[in-house]
Amino acid sequence: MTQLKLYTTVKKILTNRAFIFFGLLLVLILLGGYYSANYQNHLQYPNTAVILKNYPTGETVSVTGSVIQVYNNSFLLTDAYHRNVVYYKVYSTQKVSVGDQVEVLGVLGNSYRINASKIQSVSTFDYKFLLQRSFIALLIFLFFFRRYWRFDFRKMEFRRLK
Amino acid sequence: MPDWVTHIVVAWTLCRILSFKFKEFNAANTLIVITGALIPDIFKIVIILQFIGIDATDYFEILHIPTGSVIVAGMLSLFFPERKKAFLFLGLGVLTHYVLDSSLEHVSGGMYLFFPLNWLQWQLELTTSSDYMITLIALLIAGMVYIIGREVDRRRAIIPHD
Repeated sequence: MTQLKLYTTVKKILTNRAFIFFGLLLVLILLGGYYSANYQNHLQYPNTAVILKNYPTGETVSVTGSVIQVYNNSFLLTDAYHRNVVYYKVYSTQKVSVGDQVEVLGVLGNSYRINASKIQSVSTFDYKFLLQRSFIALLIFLFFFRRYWRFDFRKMEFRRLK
Repeated sequence: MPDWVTHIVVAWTLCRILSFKFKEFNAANTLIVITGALIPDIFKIVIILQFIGIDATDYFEILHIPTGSVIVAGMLSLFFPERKKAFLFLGLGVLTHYVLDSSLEHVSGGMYLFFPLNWLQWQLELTTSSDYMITLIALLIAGMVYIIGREVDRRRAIIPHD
């Protein structure tokens, strides 16, 4: 009888919505912590975070950032990691413009100079257009979602309308 | 990421096609699938945090990894009346998101599809995030499915079955 009562109580706790929610949240936080603590060791090429910790001169690196100035055969790229702003001088013949979002793969030299072997850039217009159409799509989605589902704060649950 | 138009449209198209065979893929449940398709991009909250001077990218990156997204889907499903069904619909949406994101090209790396089991990075290098041809193709296919769907519904109304 006592065993049955214990079993029912444990089952009740385990199937409790709040218990499952916070359990999953805890797993998510732990996984997030594990990821942030280890991902730098598994990167294909060092990024800005690794470069700031241990400057790997002569190694191939992969960095991302915004173009802030363009010169002949080079451009200035800015990236940041935890408020540490880095300015890379990237040597490449690929055409980029100020404001472009750029991914660079190349060999890191002294004083944050990179000889690029591969570059991918997204123009300011393309990036802003992507954000704008995504925002509009989100508004349309929310409009339709509200037509079919409404959140019941008393039950803490979505209620189907149609 | 492909833009949210593509994510939403692909999820909707898939659900509309499945609705020809399965009644569960109605409008209300389609909206749950679309919600799932947007879950990994909750990660974009880091952009807002960066505006107020907080760089939490390392910690929030887990949301844009399949394991993290599935956990969030599990948490969200707790707020729907039929939890198991909601979880499956949200999971389907998450799956469409990663299929689309895997097609993106980066200069290095890719997505940690099997984190935390292994740190292998995957990318198919088919398109770039700013390529709106993908969006146009997705919209075109969705338009065709919409027209076919209307015809199917019309025929079903004339000749009801099961």
